[in-house]
Amino acid sequence: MVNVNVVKYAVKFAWSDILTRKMRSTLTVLGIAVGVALLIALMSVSLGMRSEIETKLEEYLGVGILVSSNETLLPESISLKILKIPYVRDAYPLILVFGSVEERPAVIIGLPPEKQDEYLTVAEVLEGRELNPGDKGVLLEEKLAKRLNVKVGDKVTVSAGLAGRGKDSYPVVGIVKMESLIGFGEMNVLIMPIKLAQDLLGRPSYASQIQVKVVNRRYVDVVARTIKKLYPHATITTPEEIMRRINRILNIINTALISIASISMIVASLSVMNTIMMVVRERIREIGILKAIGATRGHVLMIFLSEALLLSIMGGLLGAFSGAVGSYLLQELISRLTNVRVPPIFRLDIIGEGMLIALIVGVSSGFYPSWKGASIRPIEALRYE
Amino acid sequence: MSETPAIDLRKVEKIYYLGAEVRVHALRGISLKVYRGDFISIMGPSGSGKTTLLNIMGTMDRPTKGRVIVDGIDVTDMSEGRLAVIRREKIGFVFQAYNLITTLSALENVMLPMLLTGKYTEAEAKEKAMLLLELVGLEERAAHRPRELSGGEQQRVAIARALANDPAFVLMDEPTGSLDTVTGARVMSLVKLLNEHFGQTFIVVTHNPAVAKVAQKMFFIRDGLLYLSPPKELLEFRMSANAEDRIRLLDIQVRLLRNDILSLRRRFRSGDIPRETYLRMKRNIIRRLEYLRRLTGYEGL
Repeated sequence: MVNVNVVKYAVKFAWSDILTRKMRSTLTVLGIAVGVALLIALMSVSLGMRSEIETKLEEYLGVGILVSSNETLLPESISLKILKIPYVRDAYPLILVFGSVEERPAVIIGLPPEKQDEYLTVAEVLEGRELNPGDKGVLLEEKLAKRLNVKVGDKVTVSAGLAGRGKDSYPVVGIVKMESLIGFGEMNVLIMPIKLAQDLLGRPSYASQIQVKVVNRRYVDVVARTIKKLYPHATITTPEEIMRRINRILNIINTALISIASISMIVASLSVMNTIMMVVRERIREIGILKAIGATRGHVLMIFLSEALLLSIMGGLLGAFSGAVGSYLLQELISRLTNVRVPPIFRLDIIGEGMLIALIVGVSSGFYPSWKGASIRPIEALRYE
Repeated sequence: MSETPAIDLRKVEKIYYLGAEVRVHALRGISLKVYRGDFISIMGPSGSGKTTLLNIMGTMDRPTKGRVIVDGIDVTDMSEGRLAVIRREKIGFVFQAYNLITTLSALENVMLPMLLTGKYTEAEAKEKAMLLLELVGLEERAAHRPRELSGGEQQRVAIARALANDPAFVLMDEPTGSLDTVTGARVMSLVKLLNEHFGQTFIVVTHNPAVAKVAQKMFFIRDGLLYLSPPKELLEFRMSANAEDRIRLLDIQVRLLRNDILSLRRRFRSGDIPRETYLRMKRNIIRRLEYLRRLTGYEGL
């Protein structure tokens, strides 16, 4: 049977102890808060990162399949055959190679001009125009144009393929802005009609990959299997598969982040243990008096555990708050370092988990010193002055 | 007499084993009955066993032999948890100092033992605690923390707290030990008053004869045994040093004197001290030598 009045006194006792030792209590609370904040911030950012990657990937691939080959090039005509497979909405060839523009390393994208809007879903034309069918010009990504100090109408020299096999110059018809496409974030990008790219590489009618769109996500696997049957040597990549791979990497990162946060929770638990040990030492004579007037071990335990609990609650609340603030700072830091903006995601369960961990860590690490204190025999406690 | 004693000690012995060979016989068979309404004091110097006796009466320590019966209940072999209940409901404690929980007010300190029993609502406990504080003349200090109270006031709050659960007896350990004489006398007269007018049982353990005399009945404890009158023969025995001790002391004195003489002579010869100082110090040494001669009757020195 729990004696409500005694619980009230235990909490009161603990609370006034926290107030009389403000500095020590504050430091302990901060110790817990740092651990919880780190945990919440890292989890929110990693959750945000995952969802951001998923969205970007969705934008990039849509309900699509990527067919590529280990031997650099595929015949362009494959796309026509793939178009005949049921549930396929669209299929078109792409060339995606590393090369250089005016001696600067760049990614060169060759695509059918009529597909540019679909492929570059988020591109925005800043200057000039988009590619026209049969165009002989190229588009430059904004940052690359700035670096080269090139305007619409200027000519740029592009080389592609190993050892600069193909080299030619083309007029710039437009400068576009690309919201970070997965993998292109910091790279120089040049976009040209696929015909031009094929000529540059000296491989007419070939593509490095085929972009396949499916009418509905449900059919992605079916279509992927059919393509595999037709071209056993092709590498087929589905969004799910990419996501699986990315998830595997994200999980590793997540585990590392959580380990870091756990270390800080361990430090916090040592700090709680130390604090409660000191409280017990300071209160040892009062333990003697409490026991002399008939308090049991349970009563004394309750007092010290309430103190650990109160410290943990305060640490948890402060940690949840500063974790929220901290994850925005972390987002800012990430975006400064990588140019990728990852809005953190706060979920009540993450904050709840952080709080719960604070309470469990606080109370469990307070338990041992509290138990030791509560188990002191009254005459030993009274002898202590 | 069929009345149940508040506390009944039956041939209580306590032996402390300090090592494999060393043991201290702190109590050597003490029997004592204290009835409700009694006011007794147990007097003894430090090392006499009075603290051990107090701890055993307060159920905070167990005897090595004998039985301890509190208000008719044999508590000798009780578990720690059940002893806590006995202390809570049958015994009141007043220690020398720092009796109170510093974080609680005077009122809350008095309420605490009642709340621990779970038999009072908070309102009831508060009302009774208020009355008890009035009894010890501190109703106006109820909201103060122990730190804001004088030593005498703290002891009176401790007495009020000891009475909270209507104990069979109140144990006091040097209750005036940390107080000045006047304040101490005031506290003891409160104890006497509570005994005479409320029939409250008090057992006071002290080394102070003035405090012990306030009780109706005095006991004396020496070397683990209880006496009804001061055991003088023991005192005399302690005063007389034996012959061996004397010879040892004389021997050391002679050696010290010899050291002094040699050092004085050296310092005079090296010119470290003037003749005047030398002569004065020499006279001093001769005087000490004379004293030794008279003490021992030995002319050879």
